[in-house]
Amino acid sequence: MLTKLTRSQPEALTTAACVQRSDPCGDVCPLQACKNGNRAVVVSMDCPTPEACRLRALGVYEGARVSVVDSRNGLLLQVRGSRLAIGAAVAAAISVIPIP
Amino acid sequence: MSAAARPVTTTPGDRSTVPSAPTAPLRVALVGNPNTGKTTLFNALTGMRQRVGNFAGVTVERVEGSYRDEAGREVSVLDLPGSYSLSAHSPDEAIALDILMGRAKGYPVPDVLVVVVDVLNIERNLFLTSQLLELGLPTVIALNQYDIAESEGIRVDVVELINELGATVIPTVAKSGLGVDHLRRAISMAPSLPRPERRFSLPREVTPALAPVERALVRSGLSPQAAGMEALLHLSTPRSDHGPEVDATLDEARRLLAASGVRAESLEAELRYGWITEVVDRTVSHPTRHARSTSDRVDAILLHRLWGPVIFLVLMGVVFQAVFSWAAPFQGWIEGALGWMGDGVTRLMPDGDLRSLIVDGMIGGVGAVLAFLPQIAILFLFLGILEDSGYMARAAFIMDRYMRRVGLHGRSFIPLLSGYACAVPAIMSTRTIEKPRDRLATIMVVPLMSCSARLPIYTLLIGAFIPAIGLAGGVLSLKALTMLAMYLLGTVAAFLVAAVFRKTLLRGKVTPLILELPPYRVPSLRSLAQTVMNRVAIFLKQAGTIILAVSIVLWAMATYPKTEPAPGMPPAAAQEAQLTHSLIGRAGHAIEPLVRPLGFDWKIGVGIVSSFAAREVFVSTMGTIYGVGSDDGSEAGLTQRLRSERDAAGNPVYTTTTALALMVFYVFAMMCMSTMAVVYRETGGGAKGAGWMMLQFTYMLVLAYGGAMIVRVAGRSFGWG
Repeated sequence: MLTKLTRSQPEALTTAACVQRSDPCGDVCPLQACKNGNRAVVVSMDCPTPEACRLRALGVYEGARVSVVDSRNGLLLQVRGSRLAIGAAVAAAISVIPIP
Repeated sequence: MSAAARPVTTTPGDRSTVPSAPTAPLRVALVGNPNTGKTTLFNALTGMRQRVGNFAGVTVERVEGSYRDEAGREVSVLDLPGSYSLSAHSPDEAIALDILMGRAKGYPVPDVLVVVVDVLNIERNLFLTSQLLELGLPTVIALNQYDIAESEGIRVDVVELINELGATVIPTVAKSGLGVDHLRRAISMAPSLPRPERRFSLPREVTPALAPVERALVRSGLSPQAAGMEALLHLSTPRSDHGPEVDATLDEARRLLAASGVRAESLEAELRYGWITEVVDRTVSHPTRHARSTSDRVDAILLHRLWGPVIFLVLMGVVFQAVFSWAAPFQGWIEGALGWMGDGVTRLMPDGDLRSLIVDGMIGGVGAVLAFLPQIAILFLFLGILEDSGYMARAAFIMDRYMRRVGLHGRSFIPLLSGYACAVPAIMSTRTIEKPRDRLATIMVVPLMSCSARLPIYTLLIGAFIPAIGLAGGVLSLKALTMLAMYLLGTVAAFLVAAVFRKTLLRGKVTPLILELPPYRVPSLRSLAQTVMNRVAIFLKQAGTIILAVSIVLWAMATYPKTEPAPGMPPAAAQEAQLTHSLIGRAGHAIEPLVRPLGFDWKIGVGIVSSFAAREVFVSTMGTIYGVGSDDGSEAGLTQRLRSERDAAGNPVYTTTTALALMVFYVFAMMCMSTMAVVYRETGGGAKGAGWMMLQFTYMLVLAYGGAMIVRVAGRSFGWG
């Protein structure tokens, strides 16, 4: 029932993604640059903190995996079984590493 | 064990442990993420015994209900606003937080928390749950949408979940009321069970870093458990709202954590979601990940970049049309019933001031407003369907791009559209907008949308003074085009004024859009009915108080002081003489110098003054002034009378220019007591609410006067007369 912290998770994933660099947007890219259907790991969130706080509660935080459903009009994400719509301003401030 | 088809209660103990009816009611707070069916569950728990109000000093709606448990004890349930986390971003969340922390004045810490968890979205829902468990209050978890989960093949090991969470878990189906009895029993029992606590341990380097923060929080008045939760939570927020001492300890904690390589901002999310992943792995089994494919397919069409907006506009057109056409027969019945009441009183009572007060003042005045009740009910029925089906969030998403350009939020669109029907429910529906600034900007411009009460005025004046010229080969008439122009004028003004507000008083960036798109669902009829009933009740209460009072005042102003009609004077002339002599007539004369530059005479002045409470009164006032009833189907008579009206010099009072100026005046002017009352309440009441209300009234009056003046000057220079 007790869980220990997995602090090195994002770093580990960063390495994993770098090994197989088949995605067109390379290592770290803005969330919006991901193609529809891509999965990605969040590496940093530069958005003004109040919005970032809300996103973290919704499951979008540094180290979290997200699926990009639609990145053409605004941004639709699938995160932990729920679907999120994120405005362009917030999406632009989120950097991810796509998981091939 | 996987959960059986019927809800399972695994609460230790049996019924005999329920305490026998103590006098004090058990205070229960219902908390949960938005879109979990929380309100439906609240309705199922409390039935019709509900009260809707506002939390003192803020515009957050407070919904309370109650029931008696098996032991006969009164249980009062407070439905707290939906929230994703215990960090407060909106006034709604701040209120929920203050109550749970025992900081809200007049609201003691609840005796029992009921956390509503959507099984279909259990991972995200457990985030808030894990925060709530740490508060150490007796907690019951309602695992809602249990039927849908089962039909999608999702299996939940409820017994194991109880072990993992350390709190009672009751599967429920709020829509059908399944599991609600078990939930009630668990609520009554919860205070006698061990309190829940944090279910994961902090990493070694975090505990010492957070200890000073927790101590500072306890000094600021929090319980030790709540302090533990708050300390972790505030690592990721810029300010804690607990004062500089706590903020200083937080800064120190962040520094310490950074030194040992821990990222403070994401620590809480990492810890909680790490724990959640393990809990869900052990307790929930998904058959496949394709459970949501229906929603996906629907979204592919409804959120399509081309079809999405088109479908949305068509849907809105249907709603708009329905509000008008479905309401018409009901409106007829209400007007008929009120007419019958008025006739009855007229027959039963002797002629005199008291009868006039009841028939003309009370029944007439309140009746004019009650006639809008069907529109309000139908509008809220549709809004409820859109919200409960999951489409409302999509609509906000689709419109966000366009609304953002004038400084409004995606969620502002529905209230603006509702404003075409009536500003009162439209302003009430702005409650879905989270940020006060976004909400205020919307409230301030909603009354510029031409509501249905302006329609009679447009109809009368266009019918009388706009020539019947066919345009575009007879497809359009100049009359129809004028009507459309009035609607467009108000709409464009609403967007422009919103942009001005966002650059001045309500400066600041529009809140970025972060929105959950819930899966599509069939709305529950029971819950829809309850929502509509609540809205109707609020409206009726207002009609019975404020509007009634204003109607009586207006009636008195038109009746006193009295004048004796000269013998042999025809009734219509006597009526006009009385009106001239009355306070309202004097007011009309008094404001004549003000409206003269717009080309209006004192009679129009009286019309404007008397229609202050409700615009449509203008038409009936004109009828009264010119001694022709507009209610008895002789509107043609009024049209004739207006056309032939001459001033002292023998020139027609009403020209095309005057009529246009008058219409433009009504497009902009805030001539609606009910709207002002709602604005006052929804902007916070008190001095603040009064300030916003007066600001809105003033700017709209300035626009109205300026607009009418421009029409007059332009009309004269074009030689329209």
